[in-house]
Amino acid sequence: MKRIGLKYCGGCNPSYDRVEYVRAIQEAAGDRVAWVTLDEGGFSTLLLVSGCDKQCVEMAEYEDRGCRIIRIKDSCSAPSEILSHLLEGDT
Amino acid sequence: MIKTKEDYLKSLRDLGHLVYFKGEPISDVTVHPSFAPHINSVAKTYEMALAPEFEDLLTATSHLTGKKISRFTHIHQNVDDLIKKVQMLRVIAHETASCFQRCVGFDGLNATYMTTYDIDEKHGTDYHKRFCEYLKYIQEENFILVGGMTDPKGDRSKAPSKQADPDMFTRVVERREDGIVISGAKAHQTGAVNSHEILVMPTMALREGDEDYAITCAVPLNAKGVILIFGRQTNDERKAESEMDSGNPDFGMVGGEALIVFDQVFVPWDRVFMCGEIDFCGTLVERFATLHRQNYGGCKGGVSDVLVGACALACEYQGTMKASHIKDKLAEMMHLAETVYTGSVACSAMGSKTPSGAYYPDPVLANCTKLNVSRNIYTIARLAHDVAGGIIATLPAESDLRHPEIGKYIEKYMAGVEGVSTEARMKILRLIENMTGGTALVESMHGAGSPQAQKVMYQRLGRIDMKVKWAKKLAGIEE
Repeated sequence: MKRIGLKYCGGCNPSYDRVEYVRAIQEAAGDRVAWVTLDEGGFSTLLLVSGCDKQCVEMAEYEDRGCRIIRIKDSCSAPSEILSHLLEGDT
Repeated sequence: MIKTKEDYLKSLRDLGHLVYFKGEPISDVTVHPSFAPHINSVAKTYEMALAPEFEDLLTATSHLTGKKISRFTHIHQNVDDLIKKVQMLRVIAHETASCFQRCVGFDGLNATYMTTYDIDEKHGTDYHKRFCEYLKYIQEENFILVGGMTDPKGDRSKAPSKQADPDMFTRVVERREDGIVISGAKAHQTGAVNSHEILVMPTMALREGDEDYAITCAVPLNAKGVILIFGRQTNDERKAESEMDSGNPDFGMVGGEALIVFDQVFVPWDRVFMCGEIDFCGTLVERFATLHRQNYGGCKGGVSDVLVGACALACEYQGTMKASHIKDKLAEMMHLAETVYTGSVACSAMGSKTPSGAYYPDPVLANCTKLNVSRNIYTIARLAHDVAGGIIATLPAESDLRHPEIGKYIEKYMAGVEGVSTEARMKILRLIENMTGGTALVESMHGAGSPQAQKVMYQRLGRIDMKVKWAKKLAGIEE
């Protein structure tokens, strides 16, 4: 099971339902992924969920550490597509 | 430390403060139907701080301790903090469609932080150090703080010390070695009955002779001599009668305000942050007002988002959604909501650093925001009444809908489009009524200061001399 960090922006005025969309990704992932918070740590891939084009959350600290960050700013892609990006490189 | 809704409810039960409503003392505010919606609304700020999808806005890192804290107890450290404050207010409003009451204390903390620093610089006092210790305590406990600014004021044409009754403005009645004793009252205190402490501040700039009224201090609401008298709201009896008729059963209507009386209340010196420095009252009041006016495009913008949604749904349920004038009015409502939000973001983006290190919004733009709120929210409500229809003023009660004899008539004649229940239609119409009537509107007018207070700020800070200079230059006038 792959550990993936999950971080949301604050959601001040999102253009789509972030929680519902992430739920669909999680459902597609099933037990292939263990979703963890930033505080829990122990991940090298991070799903960063923004509610709009502004994508205001800064993740420089994690990028500097070599963490791979997959960013979402809308619900245009199929959840399975986001999942395959997240699982990229896994065998 | 309060982290969850349950912690918060327990803290209120343990507080044992003296609250009156309609002539009766209230032993447990957490179970009283008049207070429960306001409590739920504040509780939402704790719940959202723990939710991954909101914590980025609802939490911050304390500059004093480095710990993760509620943003409502944070001192703004940069422009980004000012913007995040406004974003946070909008997102909480989406969840409550009501007032969540914590911004007043939040603004009081920030205004007092900046001003105690300045007082110490000039007078060599140690208020700022005291205040920082108090702030650490509030951040650690995650308490709700009432921002106690508005005095009853009695005869508005007279200074505090010239009033027939000297208690019309909160004042120091005794100075002791271990502290002070205060008397007076604070009116319209948002969230008071479900808060833990009040931060008392002067209500206006003061002159020589009014030194006893130049007081800033923190008082626990269960202190001896503190009495809270809860005010009435439009349709408040519906809270106990019917979930549907109350419109927003979980979160009620705006803040829930009380009159807080101080009858000879002792305050130890470590909780006193200004005592007699009349030269800083105006600064403190102006800073508090600016920080508070900054908020209004955030929370009212968010509440208006919900109202637009409610109106769109009502129109859909009534089969009017395709009418072009409905679409136009909904677009106008959105424009007015985004206009007030724009103001809040703008005054935050143009914020600057004070000598204390804390950041402060642009005062002219913050005033502009609040003055627009006092107009735009009324216009949004007028448009809501227009598109929802007269039914929001004449709708029968939930008890009529549930009645064994006449319920079938309500079901039949209050129905809208096919496939939508009468109950759903009635619920959304009641929400619109709740959000646009009486108390809900007056708060937009007078909260954070009445419109005239914002006009006064324009007269003071509007730089009319520069505007005259530009006009003269362009007109070619040299005299």
